[in-house]
Amino acid sequence: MKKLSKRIIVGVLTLMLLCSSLFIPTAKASVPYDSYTYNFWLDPVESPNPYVPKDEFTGDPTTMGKFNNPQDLFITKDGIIYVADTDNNRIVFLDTSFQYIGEITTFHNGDTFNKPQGIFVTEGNHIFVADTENQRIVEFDENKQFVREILRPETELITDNTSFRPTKVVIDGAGRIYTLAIGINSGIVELNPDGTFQGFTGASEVNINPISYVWRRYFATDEQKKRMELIIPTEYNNLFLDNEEFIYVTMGNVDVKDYGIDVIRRLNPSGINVIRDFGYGSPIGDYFVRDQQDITRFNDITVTDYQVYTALDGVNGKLFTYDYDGNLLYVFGSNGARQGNFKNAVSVEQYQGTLYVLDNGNNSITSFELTEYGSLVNNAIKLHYEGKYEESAENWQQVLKFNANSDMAYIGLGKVYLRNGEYKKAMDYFKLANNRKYYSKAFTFYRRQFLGDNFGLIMTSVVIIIICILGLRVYLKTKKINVQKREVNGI
Amino acid sequence: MSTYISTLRYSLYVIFHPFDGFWDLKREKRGSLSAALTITGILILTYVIRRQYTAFLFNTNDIKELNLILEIISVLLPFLLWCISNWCLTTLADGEGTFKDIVIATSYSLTPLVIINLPLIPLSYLFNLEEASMYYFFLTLSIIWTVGLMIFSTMITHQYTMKKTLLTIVGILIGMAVMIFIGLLFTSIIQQIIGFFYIIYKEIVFRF
Repeated sequence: MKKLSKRIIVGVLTLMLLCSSLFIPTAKASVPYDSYTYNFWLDPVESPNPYVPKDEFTGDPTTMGKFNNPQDLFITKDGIIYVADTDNNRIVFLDTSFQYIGEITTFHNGDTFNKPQGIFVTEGNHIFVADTENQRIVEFDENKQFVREILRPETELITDNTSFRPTKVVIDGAGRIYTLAIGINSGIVELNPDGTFQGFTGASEVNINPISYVWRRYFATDEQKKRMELIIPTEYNNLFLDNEEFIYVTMGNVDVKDYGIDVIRRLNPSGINVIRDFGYGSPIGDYFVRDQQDITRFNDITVTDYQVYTALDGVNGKLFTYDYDGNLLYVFGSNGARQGNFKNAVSVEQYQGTLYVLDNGNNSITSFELTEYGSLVNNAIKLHYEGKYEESAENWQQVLKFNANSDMAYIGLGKVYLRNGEYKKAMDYFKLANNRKYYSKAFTFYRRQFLGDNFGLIMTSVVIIIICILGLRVYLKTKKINVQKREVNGI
Repeated sequence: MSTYISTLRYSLYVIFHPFDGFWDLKREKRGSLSAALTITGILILTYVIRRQYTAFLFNTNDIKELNLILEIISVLLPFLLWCISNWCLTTLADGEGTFKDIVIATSYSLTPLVIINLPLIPLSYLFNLEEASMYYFFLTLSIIWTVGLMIFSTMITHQYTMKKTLLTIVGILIGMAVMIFIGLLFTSIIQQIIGFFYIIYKEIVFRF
């Protein structure tokens, strides 16, 4: 009898399993990567996919042919994709559904590019191309007509006389030009709007450990010094101008022993890193890779208007998204051979919630669209950034339905409860998210409230306890005296 | 029974009057082994409870990974290592204390850890992060107090001068490190041997 019932149960369960597998959406299974975040202890925690691959574009044989080692991508506010198609020596324009619009190959009486690696388009649709091997920056107007070329700036500060090879370029609202150039490690080269040299900004510092410094300075012979690697600061490899005209930079060429340095920086106009770092860990990429060869090496970054930034780790083919406080929202993407995987991703841009990743291994652009989960998270962050806490909370509530491990959702909801004066509830949520800073805030209010509500009770019990203790002491004393009296009386 | 309680209560006298207290602990037999072991037992209990029940704000441990045996060992092992290393060294260096004396004196000097940390567990529920320095002050106080008592207990139990005591304590710490090293070495060798025989066993099993 027992066996039979067991069999029935097993049978029913199997049937349920079969049925449920019919309803699992097939779209999820086709996503060629796992998404995750990190918890308080910096252990990876699986999460739903925030983005799924939508389309892959490798070129159009009838109009533009194929890409050849493209290096940079730029998307304007009106949805035109500009690609620096480096080894084809051209700039290609596409619309957001990858329809070919046009290209620049020759200009200004037959002049051509030589391996352009960077592209930037201003608000007024002026195109700036970092024409790397021609050692210049070329500007075009909104009609794709040649305006000027900006050659090697004349300054004594760039000591290497032979080359000025710009790779990436951004132009701020005042027309100042910021560019990164190969071999220049003093920071970002800042040029005036007329192309003259202004200075360096945001130089990254040298990383050196004290022991090797002392060895090199005092003990190493000249012969040994010659063979040692030079101590030079790490160069930035990409920049992004955000809507507040601060420059985000990434550092990709980091050594394993440099794990933990701030590889994403947000530079203010005076070149100081002002990135906010209030997440569980600093925004440096993966945490479980410490001391491994495949540490995160960012090579591009894109930032939304509400300061949510997505950085691309080209070596491991992953995208890391952080909010304005440095909280890690999600990690997704991987290298591989399936659609939506990367071979050697070099550039990332976004346009209205769709991410575009340029891959020079596959010579392709892949677009990723937000899932419902992803757009809920982004919306919640955006609303919170705009100060609409109530609406933000509604989004977080929805996020929790997709992902009960979302610490960000718990923090978001906790903050709303804290504002609404539901301190106990806020504490519970902050506890779930392991956020001690806000828990402490909520707790302080809760404690005050608790003391206020129960002041009478607490005081009464304290007074009663004191009276009891005093009474007991008096009682014991009189007992002792009585005993002594009896002893004296000889009883 | 009453001697047990009075020896246990004597620990409260010792921690406030270390010179006098440790002297009488040994010479006047004011302490007992059972009381000493009780104190150590309560200390272990304190650490287990502290790990599990300290208020959220001061408890960054992952409770899912709490391992009772590991918690117990993490208190008991250093205690035993200290006592053994202490005894090994002081018997050679004219120490007057027996192993029992050392265990009793060491246990009694752990009392501040118990009497401060145990009430601190419920109290931790009353502090917020701004008042955390208060919490950490008491925590540090208990450790400093205990370290002081350990030094005096070694000094008085063995009738050493201050200089000799400090030297001995450095020696004791080195001794503890050596013991840990030998222990690890031994375990790893045993592991290798077991692995070796296991492979031979497998080889034979596969052959026949």
